[in-house]
Amino acid sequence: MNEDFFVVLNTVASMIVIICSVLSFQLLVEISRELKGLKTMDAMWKNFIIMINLFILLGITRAVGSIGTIIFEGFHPVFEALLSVTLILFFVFAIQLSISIEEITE
Amino acid sequence: MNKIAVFAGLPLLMLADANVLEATGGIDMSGTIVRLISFLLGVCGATYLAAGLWSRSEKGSVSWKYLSISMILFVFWNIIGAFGILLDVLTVKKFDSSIAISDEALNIYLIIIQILDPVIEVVVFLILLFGLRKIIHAMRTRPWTVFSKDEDESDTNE
Repeated sequence: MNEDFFVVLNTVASMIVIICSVLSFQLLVEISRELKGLKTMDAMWKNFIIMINLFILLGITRAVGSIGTIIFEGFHPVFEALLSVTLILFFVFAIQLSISIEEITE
Repeated sequence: MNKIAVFAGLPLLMLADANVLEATGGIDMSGTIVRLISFLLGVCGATYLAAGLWSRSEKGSVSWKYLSISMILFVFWNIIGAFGILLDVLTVKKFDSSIAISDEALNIYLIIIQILDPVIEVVVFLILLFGLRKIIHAMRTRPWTVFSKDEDESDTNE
């Protein structure tokens, strides 16, 4: 397949992901505003907000990384390292969120 | 002063030596292993979270199901990422040693991964956006349905 096809595909996908991430972040801000009305914001919502923030950060890093790599190849290891760190943090908070969801479900 | 400078520079020298030793065959093995481990951790975390969100959606609002589906797709995205790393290593190692893999098969796998990777990424974030919209809508209109067990009761009453 043509190399240009993959460049266009990655760029379009990255643009969509960045737009979705920004909109998701806006919704997350609205959710945290709704939760401010409550006197106690329990651990589950705190973990939920942190986890979704990390997920959005992951998407933005991946999208900016794939566009940045097209512009300058030297960015590639930096974005890969950032992606790895974000994924490890995502793992930690995903486990914490699952545990707090299980506590609520029980 | 010179001794302090030598001691300060020692870790840097060690790191440089380690890179020379590890970057054999054109692959930064330590970096590759960290990437692989992070993708596998992503698979574990997202699977566990998807299961938790799915069980939550069965007892509360259906909007949690969208987030669960997003996490399941994120698991596939991580698997594709891990598989892509393995293929990259195979591509480089193929020229160094005599690994018997046909070029055509390797190219087809690489093309499939290069197409699937951005497509799944877009779907994951679209479903996440949709799920968050559903949750905020439920929080504003009927906040008790987000976690409530009353929903089932009201459904049975209706």
